[in-house]
Amino acid sequence: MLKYIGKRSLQIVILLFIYVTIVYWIMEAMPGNFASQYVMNPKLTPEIREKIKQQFGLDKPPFIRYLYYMKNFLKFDLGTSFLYYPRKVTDIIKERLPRTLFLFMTATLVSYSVGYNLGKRIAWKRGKFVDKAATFVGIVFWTIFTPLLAIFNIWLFAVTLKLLPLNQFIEPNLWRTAPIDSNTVFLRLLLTGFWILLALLVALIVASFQKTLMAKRITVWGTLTASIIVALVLWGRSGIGIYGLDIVKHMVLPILTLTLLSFAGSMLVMRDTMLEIVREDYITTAKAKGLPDKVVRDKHAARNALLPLITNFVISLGFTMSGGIITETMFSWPGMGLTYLEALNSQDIPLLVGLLVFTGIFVLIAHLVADILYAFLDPRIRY
Amino acid sequence: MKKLFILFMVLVVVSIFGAKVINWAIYEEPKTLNIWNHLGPNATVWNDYVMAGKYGSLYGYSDVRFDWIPALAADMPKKYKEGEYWVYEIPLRQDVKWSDGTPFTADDVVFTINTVLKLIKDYGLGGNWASSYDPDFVEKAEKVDDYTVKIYFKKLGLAKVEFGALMGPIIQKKFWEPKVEEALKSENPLQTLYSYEPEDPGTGAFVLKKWEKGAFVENTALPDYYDRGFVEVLYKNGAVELKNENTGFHWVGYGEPKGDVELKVETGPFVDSIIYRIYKEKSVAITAMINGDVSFIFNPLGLQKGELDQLRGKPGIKITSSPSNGFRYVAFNMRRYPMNIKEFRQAIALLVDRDFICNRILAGQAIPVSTLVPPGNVFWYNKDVKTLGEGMSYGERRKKAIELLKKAGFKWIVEPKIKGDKIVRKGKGLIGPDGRKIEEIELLAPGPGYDPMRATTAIFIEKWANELGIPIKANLVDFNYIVQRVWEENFNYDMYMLGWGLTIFPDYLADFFHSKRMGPGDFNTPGYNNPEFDEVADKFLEATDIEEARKLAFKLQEMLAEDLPYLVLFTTPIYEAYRVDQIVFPYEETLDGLQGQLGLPAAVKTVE
Repeated sequence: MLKYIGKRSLQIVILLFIYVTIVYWIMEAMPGNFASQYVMNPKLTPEIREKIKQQFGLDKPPFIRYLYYMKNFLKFDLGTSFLYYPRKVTDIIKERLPRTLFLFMTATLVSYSVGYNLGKRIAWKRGKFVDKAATFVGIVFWTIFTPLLAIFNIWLFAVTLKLLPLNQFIEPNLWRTAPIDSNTVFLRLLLTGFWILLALLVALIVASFQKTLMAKRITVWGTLTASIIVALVLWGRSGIGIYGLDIVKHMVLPILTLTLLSFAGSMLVMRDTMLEIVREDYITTAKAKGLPDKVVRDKHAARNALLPLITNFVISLGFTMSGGIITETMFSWPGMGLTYLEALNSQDIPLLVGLLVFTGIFVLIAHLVADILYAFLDPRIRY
Repeated sequence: MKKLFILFMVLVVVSIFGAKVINWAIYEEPKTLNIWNHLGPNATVWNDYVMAGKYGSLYGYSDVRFDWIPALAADMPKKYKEGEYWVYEIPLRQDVKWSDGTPFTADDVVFTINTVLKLIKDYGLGGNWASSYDPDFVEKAEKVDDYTVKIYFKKLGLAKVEFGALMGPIIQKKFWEPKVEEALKSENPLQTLYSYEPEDPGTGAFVLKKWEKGAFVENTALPDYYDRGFVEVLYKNGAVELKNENTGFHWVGYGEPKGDVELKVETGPFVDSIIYRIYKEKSVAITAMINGDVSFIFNPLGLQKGELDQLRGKPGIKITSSPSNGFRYVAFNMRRYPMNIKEFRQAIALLVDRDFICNRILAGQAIPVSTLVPPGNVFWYNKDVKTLGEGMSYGERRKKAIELLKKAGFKWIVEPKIKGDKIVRKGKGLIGPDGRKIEEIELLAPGPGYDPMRATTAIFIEKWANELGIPIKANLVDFNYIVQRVWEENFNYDMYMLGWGLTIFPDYLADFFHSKRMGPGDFNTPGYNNPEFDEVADKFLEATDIEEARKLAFKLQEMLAEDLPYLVLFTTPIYEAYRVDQIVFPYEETLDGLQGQLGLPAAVKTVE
């Protein structure tokens, strides 16, 4: 296994260099450059514009710029943004990443949970109305025009029903007197999420060693409830709970939209895998033993059908780093997706390449993690 | 928890209503609020909106009429010659205070001008700093006493002196002197200056309270703002009166302050805080306005048709329309054949019926213009300049165009034939005066995604030209591609269509067409080279008297309308909307709209 991880890591490094090179040259190939915007100011003489180009290094030939970039890249320096000059690209990523991570990781978790649960249920009732209805609804949302769904949700839940906030990720009138900034709250929320997931993971491991179903249930649900209560108490006593709650409130609409858009993917993967598995002999055996339907479905079929879904989920987690341009625009959630768009529109090459490289690294790592997970989850797979 | 949250929200709402907080929407987050960076590489209109009026200048414009009036100065400058330099001796207002309570003095003016000049000359400080304090014109500033400064100029010119250096921003010496010294010792002084947090004091009515990145910026009003109660009165006879009874400041100019008052604007601030909410999606900002979450939306382009339709008739919302200071145009590359032939350009101008485009095709969304100064810039606009073909019918325009082309020596393989308002035979195979067939002429224009108005107009120009056998081909491309072809590839184009946003003082007439601006990457993109024009343009740039400059600007507009290096097409009005049940502006219609005045933060009031 270690040999395999080492070999894959080396491949990832090589792949990363090829990826950075391709991304860099695609960006360079676009017409114009960042300094073109100064063309629109006739007050700037060609000499001044030349100085601005020098300041951004745009006076040098593209190949020399590429060499500079790679030299800095080897030193883990993603350069300085043109658009936010003189801010470092890593600073901008540090500012935007927590917002994106919290929103898209939560949405991915929710979407996969919904997909997994629906998928196993409709597979069990294949050909019946529930199967057809869920598949139809899922496909409709899967193919719907994203901005349309976002606008519809905003109109329904924020404007008409007035149940949820209209837009943005925080309420300015509340936050204007906040003693901390939103990024700190986002980081704490992320930590809370990780803490709960970690506690759940430990509980699942402990439960796997327990013998009775009751003990397992108590361990898993007890740990989950306890960790949520501890988190709520800590948030309540921190004095910033109100701000955390405000962010969570603002997340509901984008998460709802993202879940509606994407749950069909995981639902159909789960359904198809389940349909293959229910034909297996061990499922017939389990049924013949007189086990209840729910136990056969959840413990014998769904667990074995989980493998492709987990692979998809882990790789999706890697992609959560990149955020989503449309969702972030529609909900004024300025994360990584909007930063891509901004960098692309203004041809801020260091920022754009930096963002793509950053996402690329996580996606490549996610692939590696998925491969390793396979070995753990499926005893038949050995590297 | 829920009850606690509701209680907290109630307290927040109570405090908001008690505190006169207004919410405005912006579509982009400011790139920076650091003044060095804002006037350097990171200038955006969104920074401007949020930094509204933080930094004063010696002179400014009056509201609506744009008279040139004192701002931090107490009176008009005294001009005289001292050795080789022209000196502007300027008395300063003695009642001005920085937001930290420090009095504003001549030291601040001298520090600003001399520091900026040093940074331009020694370190290449560029951007708007270099255009405000142009080292080719400004030599230095000197303090006469605490409230008088002398600014030395190498040469004169309204654009670079009155409308340039004297309108440049003034920063505080006490805050910036140690910071500049520290920056100069660093490896990259400009980068260090650009990196400072925007904590410096200003002379405006608001200070930055909070910038929650990605969500909002809040500016809070100074409770003891020195200029509270300042009144600007514009009289119909042209006179301007500025007074502040609290501080005793009083100034009168442009005639006797008597008779009917055209406009009176009082400075507050009348609100305690302004929150600039960042909405990345325009339709959501519009919904927020309908919902009452925001009372005004900033947009340099104004509201588009769909947005207007959405807002029209909604209770509490008023839509306003203002002229904009800009135009869309077609440039001819006069370095190339046949665009270098005046009659050819005039023939194209005759074919382009701007009234038809604006009123029929664009359904009144655009206003036809005939000169490079849009009608909204009333003082500098020459209303006597007429467009070619004005008042002519469809057929008459075409007959005249054919006549002009023939006069210049053009021929056709198949000559177009016009009968009444109909083209009975389309032209084919246009042959130039040199006997060669005219090959395809490319008209570069932005695609419909970027600007549907220009894309549509380009297609109509192609159609109308092709009817007469003029082989124009509209090529709808990316904006950056046009910029690359025109500026980066050394004027590699036949014709292109773009637009300009303009300044009040029309020195762009010289920037765009003086022969000394014909070099690669410069702004005389058509390559217009007319010694007579250059002479008038030079006189205009050197003029020190505003009336003389106006006459010269009129003359320049006439020459350009005749020679047509640019075919000016249309301008667009700026539509805006605000909630009349939440705020009151002292006026609504002005050049470039309320957004052009940055929302008048010091004069806006809340509805009681």
